[in-house]
Amino acid sequence: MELTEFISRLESRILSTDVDYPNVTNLCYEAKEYGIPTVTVFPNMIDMCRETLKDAPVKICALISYPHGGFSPQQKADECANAVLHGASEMEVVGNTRETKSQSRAYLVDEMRLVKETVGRDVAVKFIIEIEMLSDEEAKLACEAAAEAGVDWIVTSTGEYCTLDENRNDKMLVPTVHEVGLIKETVGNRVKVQAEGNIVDVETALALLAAGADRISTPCPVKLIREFMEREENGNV
Amino acid sequence: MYDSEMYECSVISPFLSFYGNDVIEKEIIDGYRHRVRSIIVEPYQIPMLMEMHKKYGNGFTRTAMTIGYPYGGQTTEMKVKLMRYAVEWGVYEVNVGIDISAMLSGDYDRCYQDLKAVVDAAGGKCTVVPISWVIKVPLEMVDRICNMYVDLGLTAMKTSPGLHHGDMKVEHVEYIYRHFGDKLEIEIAGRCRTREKAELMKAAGASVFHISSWRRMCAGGQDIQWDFETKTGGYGEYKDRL
Repeated sequence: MELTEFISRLESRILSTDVDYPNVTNLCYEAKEYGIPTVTVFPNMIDMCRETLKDAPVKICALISYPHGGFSPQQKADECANAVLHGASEMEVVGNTRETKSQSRAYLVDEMRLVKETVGRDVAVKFIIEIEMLSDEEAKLACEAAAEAGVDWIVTSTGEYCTLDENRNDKMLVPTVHEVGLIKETVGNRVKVQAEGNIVDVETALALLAAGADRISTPCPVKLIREFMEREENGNV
Repeated sequence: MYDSEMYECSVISPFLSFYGNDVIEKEIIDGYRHRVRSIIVEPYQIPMLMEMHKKYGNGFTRTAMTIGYPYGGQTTEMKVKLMRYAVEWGVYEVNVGIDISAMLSGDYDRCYQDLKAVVDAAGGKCTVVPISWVIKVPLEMVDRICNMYVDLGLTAMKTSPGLHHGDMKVEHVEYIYRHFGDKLEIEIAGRCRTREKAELMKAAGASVFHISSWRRMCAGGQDIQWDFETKTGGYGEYKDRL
C-alpha cells in the first residue's frame, strides 16, 4: 500500500475531553496539511470546522445521537438534518444497540432507512453498531439491517468504552480483526466498513485494513501517517 | 445511611447499550419498587418510562432524561428541541450536557447562552440538572460554571458524566458544598463505587448519587455487568474497579 492510499483510508476524530477549540481547529489544519479526507466532530463544532477548513477538500462528519444511540429514529433524522444545515456532509449515527440486542431487525432497518432518506443521496450515512457489545449473531443482524436499509457505512464502535488491563487500569477498546472480518464477511461490498476505536498505531490500522476495513477512524492520524512513513523508509510496507 | 436512604438518593440509568429491552424493563420496575430517587433514560425511552411511571409510580421516584450527554456536543437547536420534547411528556428532570468545548476553551459566554436556551425551553416545567466536568477541570473553572448555574436559577448540578472519565473525590464535594452548598444540590457521578465513599460524600454535602451498580451499593445485591472479553452480560458479581 502506498502512503497516499493509506492516508485516503483515514478519518480524523476528536471526541474525548480534548474537544477544546485549539484541538478542534488543529484537527482541521492537520487534515488540510496531510490530505486526510474527513474529520469527525460533535455537531456543535461543525461551524468552527467549516470556518477553519474553508475550501479545503475535507469533509466534515457529524456524530449523531452519541454515545448511546438513544434518540428515536425521527430524532436521529432531525439531528442529521440540523447537521447538514450547519455544513456536515457525512453523518455517523449511533444505532440503537438495545434494539439490536432485542433482535428487533425491523426497528433497525426503519431507523437507518429514515435517516438515509432524510439526508439524501449526497450525504454519506454511517451507522455505528457497537460491536463491542454484540455477539457474532447480533452483529450479523445489525449488519444485515444496515445493508437492507441502504446505509453507506457500518462503523464498528463509538470509541467511548474501556475495559481493564492486567493492572486494573482503564484500557480503551480497539476493534479486533475478527470483528472487522465478521462485518466484511456479512455485508461484502454492499456497505463499506469503518473501524473505529482507540486505534493509535499503524500496525493495528494495517491489520484492520487487511481484515476488510475500508477506513480507519483514529484520534491521532498524523501519528499513524508518520509511523507508516517510517515503515516505508525501513522497507516494511 | 440505612439501605432505604441509599436507595432514596440513588439515580439509576437503564439505557446502557448492552441492555436488552427485558433488562431495561426490569431495572425500571425494580427502581420504582425500591424507591430510587430518579430513573433517567434516553429520549427514545421516554414514552415507555412515562407509561411505566403511571403503572408503578410511587409518589417519590422521579422521571428523568438526558440531553447532550456527555460532552454537550449537540447544537443548541437540538438541545432545545429535546427539552421541549421532555416538557411535552411531563418529564420531571433533565440532565443536560454543557458545551464542554466552550467551557474548556474559556468561552463561558457561549456555554452560558447554550445552557440558557435549554433552561428557557424548560420554562420552569422541568428541572434542569447540568452535567459538569468537575474531575477534569481546575477548581477556578468549577467556580465559574457553578456561578453560571446559579445565575441561570438552577438549583442542582451533576458533578460528572460518569463513564470512564475519572474519579470524583470527597474533596471535590467538600469544595463545591463549601462554596455553593446553599444554592446547588450536588448530584454525584464519576466512579463512586463503594458505599463507604458514598457515605463520606453525603457527609461532605452530596445529596444524590448517579451510580451504575446501584443494587450492590444500596443493599449488597448484584447488578447487570458486561464482560468485553467474553461479550457476555448478566446479573452477577461486580468485577470492575472500585
